[in-house]
Amino acid sequence: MRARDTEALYSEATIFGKYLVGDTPPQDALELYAAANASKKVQAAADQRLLSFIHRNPWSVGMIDGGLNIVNRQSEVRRRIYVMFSILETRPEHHEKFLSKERGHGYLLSVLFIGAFGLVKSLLGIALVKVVGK
Amino acid sequence: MNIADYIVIGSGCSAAMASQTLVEAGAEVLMVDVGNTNPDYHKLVPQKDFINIRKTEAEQYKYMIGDDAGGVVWGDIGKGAQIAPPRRHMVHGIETYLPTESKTFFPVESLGYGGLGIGWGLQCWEYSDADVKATGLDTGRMTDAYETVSKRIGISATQDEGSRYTMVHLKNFQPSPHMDRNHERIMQRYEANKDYFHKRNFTLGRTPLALITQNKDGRKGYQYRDMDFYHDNDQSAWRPWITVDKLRTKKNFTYLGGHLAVSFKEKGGYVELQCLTIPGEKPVTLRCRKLIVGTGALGSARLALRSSKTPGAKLPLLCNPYSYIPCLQPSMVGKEVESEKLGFAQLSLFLDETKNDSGTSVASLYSYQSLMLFRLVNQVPFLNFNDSRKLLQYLASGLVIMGVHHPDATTAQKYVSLVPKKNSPTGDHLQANYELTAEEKAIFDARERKFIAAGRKLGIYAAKRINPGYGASIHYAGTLPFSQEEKPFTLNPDGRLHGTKRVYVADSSGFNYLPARGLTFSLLANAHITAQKALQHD
Repeated sequence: MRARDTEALYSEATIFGKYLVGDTPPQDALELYAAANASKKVQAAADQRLLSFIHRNPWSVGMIDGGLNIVNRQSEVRRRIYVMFSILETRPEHHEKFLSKERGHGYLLSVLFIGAFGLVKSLLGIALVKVVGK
Repeated sequence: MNIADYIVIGSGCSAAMASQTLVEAGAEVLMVDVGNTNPDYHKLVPQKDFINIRKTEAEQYKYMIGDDAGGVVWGDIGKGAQIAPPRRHMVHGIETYLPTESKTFFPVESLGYGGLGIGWGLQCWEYSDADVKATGLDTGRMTDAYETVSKRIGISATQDEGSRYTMVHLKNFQPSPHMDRNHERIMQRYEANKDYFHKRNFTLGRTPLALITQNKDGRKGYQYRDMDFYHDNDQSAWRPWITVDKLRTKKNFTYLGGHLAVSFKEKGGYVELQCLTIPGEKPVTLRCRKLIVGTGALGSARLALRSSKTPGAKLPLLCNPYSYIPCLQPSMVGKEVESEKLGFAQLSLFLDETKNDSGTSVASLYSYQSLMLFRLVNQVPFLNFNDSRKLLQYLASGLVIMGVHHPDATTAQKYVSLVPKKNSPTGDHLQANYELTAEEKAIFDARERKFIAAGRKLGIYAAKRINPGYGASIHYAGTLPFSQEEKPFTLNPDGRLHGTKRVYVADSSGFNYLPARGLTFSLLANAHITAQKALQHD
């Protein structure tokens, strides 16, 4: 793999890591992400455009991810975020983001808010996917 | 010319059990197997519980998702998608050496050391007498054989209301492992509402497992590490390779790996077995006085068809229709993870509409923890992965998976045949067709709705019903059914292939009917009986 491709994958992994757990992933997680995607080129033009947009505008990744879950679940963009999700889940420093925790009854309200706000983000994401992916 | 007493093909459940019976009787046995292994992964997994590993082990990704994240399957959740990297050798090479083509049937087979037993869920239900008869087996012999198998492999079980469905006659067993909090609550709800369930023909009981809870024969009693999807380090769970490893220390047993059995031919007083070496695909001929086939119902069908004069013949096929239903137990959400847990089925819910245990369907109940969130997160609708993670992290402690199996009977729409194929090392592939009749579909659909309703009464609420495709149950049988008549492609009641004098089939190929209860315990018992019969005919 060319150094430039590797750098692009590292940068992508960093964006996804910050998006998923709010933190820059360690170097070995970046390397694992790059190895997992080295031979998997993004074929669809719309996915390429969306990935480029995410590289330039990291704030958009959550909306695009949610939008794609509604309009194109099998998108290569989502596959890549999914790979990063699984890598981060196996990182001991992030176990608190994945393992169950004791929560009070009040937390249900937070979950309902996350669901409702998440749905709004996904709906906005549909518009973004339509515009950017065109 | 070198002629072995017995050649046993395969190293899975049937082959291991038949071999043990032969070896213990003093016979010389040669086991012929491909025997793919994956020893390096097991060395990587530390002797810690799942939670401890998740919190501390930097290299956990190697066995949780694979060195290059190759265990992360995107999209298709069918064939072997849930197999963890340390067990991937179970399915290695099957596309090349055991090709199957079908639009309706998607089986998982194995060329691994230990066969499909590498990933078996350990459920050890005994068939009822009615089911044993419908299967074509002998009830008296099977009762004794279940006992023998239980003594060999070690089974944990509980005498409870469900025992009439789970361990009809079994006397030799260890105590069940203790239940996790999810299952304790389900059991409490069942106890409090027994009348409701009885009126609707449901019975709940502990699931007998091939999992020892007390030390036995050098194996450790279960340690509740919840790492069962990743390794067999304590050998608490019985896997066929444990038996084969032990047999390999005996003088009258030889293991020959790297050989794929292709066909056989009887010649005078012996059987010639044609094999291909793997890798290399060089033809090799082996000879024996008696051949015991234990390659699973599909593998045995391939061998019988290739070795016959009519390789294109259609053989019947049985497979348990299967759905899984992710459920939520609201009273358990938002709870801290349990470190002492197990990943196997803990409870079995039986739906016996005839009230005489004939045609019963069964749901196995599992908690969801050690397969991790990433295997679930892509099933969450509408939300992005980050919001889905937050949601699942909250819900995970209350997740219960209900796996529903239905019985299966032969119809004209369920069959396999062998078709020539260029570029296949064996020159052919298996063609399969599996379609349920409209009546079968309606019955199973109605039953699954009843299971969902029963779940609500147990305090678990179904999120959706998922049909992973026919073949996903990994329960296959019936390709060479038992028959009293001397007909081609059938077995006599002793397991001998009609038309042969020295070829026995020790797996589930002979079953005329496939009860919903997992078949493994019964095929282990049948393998023992078949080996005994082969010995008696010496």
